[in-house]
Amino acid sequence: MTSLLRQPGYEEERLQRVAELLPCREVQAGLLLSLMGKPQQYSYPSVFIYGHQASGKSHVIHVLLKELELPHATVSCVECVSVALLFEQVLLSFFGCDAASLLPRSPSLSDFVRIYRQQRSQSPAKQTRYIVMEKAELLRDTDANLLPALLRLQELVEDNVTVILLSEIVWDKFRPNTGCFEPLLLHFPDYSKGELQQILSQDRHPSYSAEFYASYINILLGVFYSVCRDLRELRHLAALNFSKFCEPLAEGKVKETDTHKLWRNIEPHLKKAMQTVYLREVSSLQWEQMQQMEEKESGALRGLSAHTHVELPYYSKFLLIAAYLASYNPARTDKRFFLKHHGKIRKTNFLKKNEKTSNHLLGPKPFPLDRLLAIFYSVVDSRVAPTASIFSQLLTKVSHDDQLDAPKYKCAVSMDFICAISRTVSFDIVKYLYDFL
Amino acid sequence: MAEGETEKEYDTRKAIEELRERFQGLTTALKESSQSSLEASLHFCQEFCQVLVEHAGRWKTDEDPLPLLEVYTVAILSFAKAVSCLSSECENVPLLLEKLALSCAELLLLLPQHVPGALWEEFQSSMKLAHSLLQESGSTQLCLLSVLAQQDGVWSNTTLSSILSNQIPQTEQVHAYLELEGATLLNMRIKHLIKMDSVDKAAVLAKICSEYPGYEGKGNFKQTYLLCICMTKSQEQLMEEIASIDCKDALEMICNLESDGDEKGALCLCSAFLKRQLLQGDVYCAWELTLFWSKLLMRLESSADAFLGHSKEMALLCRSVCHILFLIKVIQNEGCFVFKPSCKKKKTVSLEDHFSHGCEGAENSETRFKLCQDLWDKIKSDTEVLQDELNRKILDSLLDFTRKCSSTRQHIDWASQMRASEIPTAALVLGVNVPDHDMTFQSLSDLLLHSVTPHVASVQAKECGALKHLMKRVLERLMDTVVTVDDEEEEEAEQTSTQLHKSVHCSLSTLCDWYNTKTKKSSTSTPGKKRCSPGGDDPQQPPVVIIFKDLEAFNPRVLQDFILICSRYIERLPLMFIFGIATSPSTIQHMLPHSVSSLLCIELFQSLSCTQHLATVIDKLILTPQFPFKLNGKVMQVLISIFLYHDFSVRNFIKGVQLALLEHFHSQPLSVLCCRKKEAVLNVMQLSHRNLERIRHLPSFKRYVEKQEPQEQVNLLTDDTRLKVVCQKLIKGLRKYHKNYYPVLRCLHTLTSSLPRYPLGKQVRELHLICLEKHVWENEDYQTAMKLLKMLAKDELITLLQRCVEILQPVKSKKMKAALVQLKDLLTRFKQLDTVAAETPPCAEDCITSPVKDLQKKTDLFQLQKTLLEMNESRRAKKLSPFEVLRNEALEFIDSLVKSHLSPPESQTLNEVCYYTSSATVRRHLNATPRTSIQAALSSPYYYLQNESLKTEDGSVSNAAPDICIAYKLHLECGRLINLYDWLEAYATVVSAAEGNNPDSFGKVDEVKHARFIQAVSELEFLGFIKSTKQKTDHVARLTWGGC
Repeated sequence: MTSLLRQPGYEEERLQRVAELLPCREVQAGLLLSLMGKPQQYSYPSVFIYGHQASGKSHVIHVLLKELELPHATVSCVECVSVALLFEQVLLSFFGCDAASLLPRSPSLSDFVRIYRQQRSQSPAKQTRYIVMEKAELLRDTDANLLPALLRLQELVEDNVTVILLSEIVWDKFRPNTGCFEPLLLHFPDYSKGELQQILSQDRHPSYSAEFYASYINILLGVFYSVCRDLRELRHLAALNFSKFCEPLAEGKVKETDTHKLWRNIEPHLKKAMQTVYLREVSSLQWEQMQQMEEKESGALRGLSAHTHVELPYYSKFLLIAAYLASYNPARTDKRFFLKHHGKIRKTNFLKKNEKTSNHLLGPKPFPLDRLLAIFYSVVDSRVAPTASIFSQLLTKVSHDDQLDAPKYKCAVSMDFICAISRTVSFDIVKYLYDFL
Repeated sequence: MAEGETEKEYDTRKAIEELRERFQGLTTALKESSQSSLEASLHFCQEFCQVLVEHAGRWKTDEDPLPLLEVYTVAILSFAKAVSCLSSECENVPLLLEKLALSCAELLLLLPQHVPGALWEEFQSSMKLAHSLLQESGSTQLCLLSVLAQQDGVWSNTTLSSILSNQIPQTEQVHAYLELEGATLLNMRIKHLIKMDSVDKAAVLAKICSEYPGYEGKGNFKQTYLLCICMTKSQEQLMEEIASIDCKDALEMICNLESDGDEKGALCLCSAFLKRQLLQGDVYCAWELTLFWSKLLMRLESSADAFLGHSKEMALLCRSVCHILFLIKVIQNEGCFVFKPSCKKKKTVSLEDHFSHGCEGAENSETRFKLCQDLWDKIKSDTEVLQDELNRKILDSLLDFTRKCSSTRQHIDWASQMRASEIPTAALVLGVNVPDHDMTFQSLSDLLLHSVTPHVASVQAKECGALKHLMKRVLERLMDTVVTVDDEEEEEAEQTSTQLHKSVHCSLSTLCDWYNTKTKKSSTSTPGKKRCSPGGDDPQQPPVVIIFKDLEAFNPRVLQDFILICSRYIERLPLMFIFGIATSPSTIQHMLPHSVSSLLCIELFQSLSCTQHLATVIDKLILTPQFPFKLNGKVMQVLISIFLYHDFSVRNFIKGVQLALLEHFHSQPLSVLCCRKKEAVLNVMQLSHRNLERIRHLPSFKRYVEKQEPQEQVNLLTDDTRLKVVCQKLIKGLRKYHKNYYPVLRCLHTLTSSLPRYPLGKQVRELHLICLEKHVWENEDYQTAMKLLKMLAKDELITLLQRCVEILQPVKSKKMKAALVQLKDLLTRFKQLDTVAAETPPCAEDCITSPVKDLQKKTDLFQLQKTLLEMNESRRAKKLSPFEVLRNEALEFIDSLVKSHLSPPESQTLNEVCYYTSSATVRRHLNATPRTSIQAALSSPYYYLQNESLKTEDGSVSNAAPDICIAYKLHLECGRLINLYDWLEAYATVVSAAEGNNPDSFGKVDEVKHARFIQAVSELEFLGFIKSTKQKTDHVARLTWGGC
């Protein structure tokens, strides 16, 4: 195993430790190491690493650079709201804060390159310097020249520097129109079931044996592997349900080796947890409380989605209903629905085939303010004076920088929600919806 | 030395002789006096006092008490001898005697050493003589002294001394002794002991006295005892001693002490009780205690710092959020923060000016302003306290949550390690009444700052449009510095690079560094401690709390990025989020994708619904006789409908009440009488003639007058003093009406609120509205409710009546007490029914069951109906079972209560003083109608401009009106499409008619008119009355129809 991580220029002991820290990623780590070469050797200017969420990209890079004590700067592109922050962090970790303070306000790329070169001449690189960019897909949204420049930074600053980009997206989606230096692509494949088992077994509970925990993980994967392969989620689930798994042990009913009984005990709980995979409806703390309360069948604790009921003032409910109607009904049908003496509208003409099927599938359509108000006044049964309170409820909604003249709105609530609302004011909304005619 | 002594004695003896002679002279003068006996007595008393003061002034109490005692003995004896000649009508005689006796007793208690035998014997004999003399004439003022004189020394009674040395003798002996001494003397003894610094002896004596049943309600021994132990005992003992005392009694004692002028004692007692409540985490009376405590402390402590110090000490004892909130409130009230006191004065002055400016009946505007201000202050603080109490539960659990989070972070068990990368998040669901949230968040962050962490930042969506702004706000609020964001702001670019060093970069790593230095700084004071116990001390790692006030309004993108960034730093920085959610918690899932929400460890907290909140506020604020100011039915209706239909905001509701309050005091001159009973009675006496005339014009008063006798009518209408007397009576009557109204209202509500279909409403406020409107018993719903009540089963009825009893229990008015007694009596009779029924099996049942049996046989519909009717008839005619009789009686009793107490306030005389009636004003102010007012302005400009030339009849617009009004008026006459040129010509005609120019240019369009017209048209377009159209050239479309 360790034979993979053999690279001249690094201490054997350290490589050993790295190998221990990176289970199931030996191949990728070995490849990276061989790319990096000896510490003082120049490396490939830019490396692009991609793979799904929780496939160990950041972890591998981080461990390698940290354990081998190579000079590096790790930057998360989410955090860099401006390029200045990016430049600053890089300079800070390579040359200290003096260099970072040399940056002018709102620096450009050339400022960065200039200062870098200046600093480099004072303290030239003895080992390859690495710049790690996490969530590199965000670089696409920054200045057009940033990504190409980073890819060939080695040339620009004439220093032994390598840029490593980490992303969940393939390189094809990055390539700018103007063309650029092609980085070295490296794919991190998903973990297989066996690998997951191996990794998850590592964070065992200190008071139980490794075999016991491994058998627990085995059971867990058996249930969840078919629906979820995300390492992070699985780890979360493992932590959540472990205490339940151990319960019979703590009560002294079974021994650690009695896998079958343990399985029988944990199965219903895992099934229940299955319903909420990925949802994170309740906090882990609350989940534990729920598990304890289960015996009492107390419904006090419910998930986030269980609370869908919203209390609204009377007129607000009607405003919402009016908005919903305006969103999902074609404007030309308003006459039919809201006028008392709408005259004869021929049914065939009225119901156009293609329009009928689509409204609720297509989603809400925008509508102007006066149409909303007109529907509102006809929907509310009593005569309502157009008061400021009603207008102000509307005005707070106009927060977009749309045109002030004739703002347009969409109603974003779901069908179920509006049905529940209209039931509370005893308004039969289905009768007024074009789709259900 | 010995020489001087004798000389002094000689002097004394001579002086006493002289005194005796002078008294003798006075007595003889009295006997021989030719004046009437009353005048002679008065004269004698005066002379007597003068002589006594003259002589007694020669010695000082502390230095030579013995000669003074002689003086008193002589004086009392002489007075006793003279009593037979004094008139019994003279008030001064008993008064003087009592004073003499009291000061003599005080002197005796003061005597430091043992009294020489001869003197004491003389005192004893003269007291005996004097007492017997006085008893003959029927006065007993000397009882006190004669009791003292019977013993052989002031303090030498065996029972007393054994009590004082803490060896309590037998109860009978003690009681006999206490009976003998009397409360006054014992009180003096205790006071003397306290003065002599033997507080523990005083405490023992006071305790014995307080336990003696004969002294109940006399002499405040309990209070003295508590005060004594407050001064001597340690904290624990004190707590034990006061554990059983009710806070209401304690409050009374504190008030007593304060009114006696013993502020120190009051504070002592008050802090003892407050501490007890704090330690027990009990909120009963806590607000009153805290308030008293702060007021007393402020009087005794001159500096605000000392006050703050004391408050902090108290806060450390707190075990419940509510207490901390109370403390925060009093600290804020006392103005310990920044600049308040100086500018406060100025402000109120200008406010008052505002108030009296243009207010109705200016002469008593000052009083009214003060009343209004006081009332509002009271309402405000009460509602705040109420709010805090309502929020207490949720805030408590939130605080627990933050504490737990910060502590689990430092634990090293497996489960919390597995969770280490999650950011603890509290989702706080507050309901849609967004305006109310501010207060909740304010108290939340106050509490967090106070008891959990100094690092709290709250952000609002509208100030965080982009990630960098959010970042900037968070950093600024946490670090209290200016943070630069790299914006392209040129003026700042000029600043030198040295400035750049100082300003902080906007990233979380800066925050991390800052946090590390902060925590390190605080931990250097206890060096090494952090090393040995890294997890034990959580104050060293206080969490950083970020509050998102309105989660829904945040840009999801920004929020996601921020959470992603934060999760990168979670190991170094103990972050925590609180999300304020207005709609439903599922918005979190809508806003955040799984990759982000999996970084959070969300816990849900649901706050009280706002309708419940309103119900509590109405219950505590409106449905109580505590506040003299009332709203009438229509105003209530407006306020409640604004709440229910428009905003669900309790804060706005209270604002509405404030507006009504202000309007009432501003517009109603008679509102001076809208205050507490005592003040109102006083204010009646000070009413000016004009205001009395106003009273005479009140409709309710007119009705009252009409019912009086003709002579009385004349009196009331002409005699001011008579009117004042009657007014006082009426005001008291109004107060009594309120005192009875609310309990009865609540009783009726408890009875009817559980009936099917709620004939009188589910909430008390609905019933209250009905009662305000008209006689509730004439209401149809009331009849149905009563009918339904007559069908209640026994156990239901008993529980309901039981609840009514609970409602009536604390009410102190006489009528309610009588009602309570009656109700209790009914209840016991209901309960007795069981035993009675068990003895005699009901024979009536047989008769009822027989038709039912018949009924089962028949299936024909017509027959069924007939039998049912028959059954009904027969049941009505049948002898009622004892339960039914009793039930009818109970309901009739309730009915009579309702009829006598729930009449609408309009029927009460002088109700105009307390009730605010102008619902239109409230509606206009709170629920404005912009469109209607624009139309009103355009169609009758005089309404707003108040210019005489614009005044017209029959709704037409004068020629001189502003251009836009003319254009508006003209456009009303057009159809859907308006021809601009026709419109212009019509306009020019009207305008030139107004100018009255020469006929040549009449109706001609010149450039100025053209420009004015264009402006008017574009203004109309801006206001939304017309819009341009493409259907026809030179035409605009009209957009409004009819009057809105």
